[in-house]
Amino acid sequence: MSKSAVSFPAALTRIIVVLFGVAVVARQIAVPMLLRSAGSDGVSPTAWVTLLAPLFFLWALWAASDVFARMHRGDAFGPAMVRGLRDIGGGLMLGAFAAIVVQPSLIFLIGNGFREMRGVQLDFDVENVTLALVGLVLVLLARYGRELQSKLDAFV
Amino acid sequence: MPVRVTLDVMLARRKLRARDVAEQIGISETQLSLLRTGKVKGMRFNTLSKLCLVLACAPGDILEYERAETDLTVNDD
Repeated sequence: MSKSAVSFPAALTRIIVVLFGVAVVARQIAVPMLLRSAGSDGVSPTAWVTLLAPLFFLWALWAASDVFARMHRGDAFGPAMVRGLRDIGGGLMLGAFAAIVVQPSLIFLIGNGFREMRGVQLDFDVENVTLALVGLVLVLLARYGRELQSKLDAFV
Repeated sequence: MPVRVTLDVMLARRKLRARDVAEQIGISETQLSLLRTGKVKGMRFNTLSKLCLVLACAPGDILEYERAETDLTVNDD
């Protein structure tokens, strides 16, 4: 059986990224804008802030689709693959960091009109902490892979 | 490292050019040059067998070991 030119997991992941991207923007921005035209308050500033974490997660998914495509092409485990793993891990970590630290703090500040500038607000939940740790594992694996690759390159 | 590559000697004996040998065994001239000068950490069995075939020799003809008691204490890195 011949190998298809397009990787199914890569294509599926990219479709998911696009659909999720559209869904997130629609839910947070487009729908409130439509409501605004119908007399509602419209887009609140916190809606923009809550886009931060999903954007990083979508970036991680897009990087995953690149890795799927490379695996489908039969690329050897090289610098591009390592960069892909690092991007997935980085995206997950940044997304989780945004969800746990950045978003709650900004929402708190926006909520009180930047009058009360105290401390950092944290919003720990199992999903985001898990994603952050998985991201960290991927970043460390990518680093280990790069070291392994440079050792292999020293062999002729 | 007490294992030395004596590829130059075999190349001279067989009157072959490094460039031609590199082309025949499918590695770059630079890689073969690094191998000749011992600037690599190791050689794959695959490369070794190709070299032996092209140079019509045995591994011992292109590798030399100088006994060193410290070898047992050397760490792999």
